[in-house]
Amino acid sequence: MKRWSKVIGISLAVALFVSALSGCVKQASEDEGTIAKIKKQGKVIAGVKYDLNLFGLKDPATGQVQGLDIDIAKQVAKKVLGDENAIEFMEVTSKTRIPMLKNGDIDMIVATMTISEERKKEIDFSDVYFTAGQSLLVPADSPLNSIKDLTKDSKVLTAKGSTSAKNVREAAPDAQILEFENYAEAFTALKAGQGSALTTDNALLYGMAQQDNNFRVLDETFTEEPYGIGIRKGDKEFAELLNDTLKELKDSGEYAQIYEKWIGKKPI
Amino acid sequence: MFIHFSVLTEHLDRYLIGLGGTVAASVISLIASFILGAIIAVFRITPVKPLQWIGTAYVEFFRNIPLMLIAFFVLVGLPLLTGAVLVPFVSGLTALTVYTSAFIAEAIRAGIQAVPKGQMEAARSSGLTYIQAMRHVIIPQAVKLVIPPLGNQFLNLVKNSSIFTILSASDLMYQADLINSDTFDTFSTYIFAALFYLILTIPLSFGIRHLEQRSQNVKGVEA
Amino acid sequence: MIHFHQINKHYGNFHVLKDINLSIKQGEVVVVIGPSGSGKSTMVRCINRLELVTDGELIVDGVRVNDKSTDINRLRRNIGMVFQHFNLYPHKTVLQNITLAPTQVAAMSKQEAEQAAMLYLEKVGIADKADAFPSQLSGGQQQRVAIARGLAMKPKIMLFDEPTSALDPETIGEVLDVMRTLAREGMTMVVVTHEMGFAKEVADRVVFMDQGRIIEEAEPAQFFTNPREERAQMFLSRILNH
Repeated sequence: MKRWSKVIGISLAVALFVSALSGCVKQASEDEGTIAKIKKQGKVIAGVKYDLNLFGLKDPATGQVQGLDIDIAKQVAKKVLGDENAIEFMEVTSKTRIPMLKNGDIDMIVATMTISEERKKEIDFSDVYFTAGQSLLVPADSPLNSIKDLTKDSKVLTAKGSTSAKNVREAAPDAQILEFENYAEAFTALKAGQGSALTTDNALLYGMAQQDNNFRVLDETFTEEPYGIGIRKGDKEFAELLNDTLKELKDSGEYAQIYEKWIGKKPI
Repeated sequence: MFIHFSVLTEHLDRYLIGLGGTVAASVISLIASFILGAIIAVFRITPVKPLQWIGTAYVEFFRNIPLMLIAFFVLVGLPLLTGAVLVPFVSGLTALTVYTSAFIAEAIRAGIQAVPKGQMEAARSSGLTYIQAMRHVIIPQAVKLVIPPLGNQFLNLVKNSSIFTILSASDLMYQADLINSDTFDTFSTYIFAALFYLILTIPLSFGIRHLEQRSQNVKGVEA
Repeated sequence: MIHFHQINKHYGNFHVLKDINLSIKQGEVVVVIGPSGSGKSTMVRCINRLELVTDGELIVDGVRVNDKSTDINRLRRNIGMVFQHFNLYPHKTVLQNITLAPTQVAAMSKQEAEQAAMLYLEKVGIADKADAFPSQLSGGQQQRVAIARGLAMKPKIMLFDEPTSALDPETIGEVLDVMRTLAREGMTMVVVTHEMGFAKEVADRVVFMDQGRIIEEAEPAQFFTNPREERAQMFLSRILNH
């Protein structure tokens, strides 16, 4: 009798646990396209980074998020709703951005996300809006000058859920990889001496080196990282609109202005 | 159905590596935090005032800040202050041990002080020294009072070891994060992670209950 | 054997014992009575330093109790104590309760200690309960075990702190019987109690305390029939006529 009630109790607990979790999964309505959803909301909800200098960084003084990603996202709002301020930013990390997009919490990801075959299985991408290359951030006095200098004693820090870990594993198979929650933490760990280098796209590394000149970015890049805007799979209408927007920006020279404003040089 | 079993079958090796990390972290931390906690508990109940202060400060400090902060301090603060860089796994062990030992010290102290004062008086008045009274009279009774809260602390410890992931130390949670970034199947990935945690914690939970019942059934427990 | 000389004790601002002067000779049975809160338990607990005195001189068995150089554990071997709530060790059997101090403190062998313990258990009349746990005994039985435990170190002095106050009325008698026997055998005893019958019959001297002071000290025959002090008269009339 007692044993039975125990078994029933545990089964109930497990059932409750599973159903509670599945209840959390909001399904984005399949039949409604993103553009229709945006119009209904009256605003675009963009998933962006809050902790990345030059691309998406929240200014604690003003509460405003600023960066190249932000400026691109605003142009999308202007295209769809005619107002570049009809936009809401939500913070995403490399780990949360795809689930949030799939859940319908955000309408698009403009968060330094590299277009990859693996990700294409889950979501769709716009055309490339920025091309970065992966490199290493090292202490200014570091002997490292190339990815080839990494040995089995080198610890390379990066963030979870990024392609950076995979790329560096291929380029320097011997090095130990430590993956942190985000780049801010990885950078903090690097400052604390927990690793010999931090790896990600050079565009982000320049932002870090700008903050703390005890660190420098290697000139060499060992990948090409095309950034695209991530959207829900199969939404062709929205993809076309994004591609049109990007093309118009490039043609009008506005893109070059945005690029130069943040990166400090003209696009190639 | 939201759960894809392929996530489990394709990444079983990583889950098992993670599970190994969590088990190792839990066992090592459990032993270390028990020893450290017992020492701090002694500090707390000793009549020597400065030791009491140290014990109280330790418990109140580490019990009242988030484990995650302690973890960051070990990862980042310790190297900046002392130049000692610990590998991530050791950083995690240190944080977890320091944090858990504060709770264990409290459980042990409360257990010892819950033994009626008359027991110590009876023992001392018969000529036993403080140490002898502790050893033969107080501690055997305190053990029975301490088992339940200690069991809870050990369960918490297993679950709290998930902070290893933010230190990039390989535990179940860290491996689950990495599996997630490969599969993007967040729901399935973490459901299976939860399952592995349950495999560890449910037997532990029943074991603790068994131990509790056994200690309650010993004759003459009631004071 | 026990000498209080101008003993004072404070708990913070509370003056518990005031100018206590009392001498107890070897073999004497002194019963301490008085209203609750009068300091009688505190006074008795000073004798084996369960309580520290604030000032004054207390000499027990030729030893200054509160001297820093005094080996208190050594002194305590000579003083058995019985508490209101027995304070038996619940995790030990009756026999283990009695043999703990002899084996740990007096370095007696286990066998020797157990033989001695059985003698004391016979003396208090519960040899058949040697292997029981305290929780399996009645209050009166527990208190008799506690007395046997106190005797096991062959003390020169036995202190009783309200030994029958926590007992059911029907078991009080068996405990008092044991104490009576002890007194007859010449044990030096200090007994805090409300059992006036016991005091009348057994005590060599009655000490009456109130508000931290010894108010009256007399032989029981005189004290109970003709107390000098008004407060003692009031106390007796209240206790005897309730």
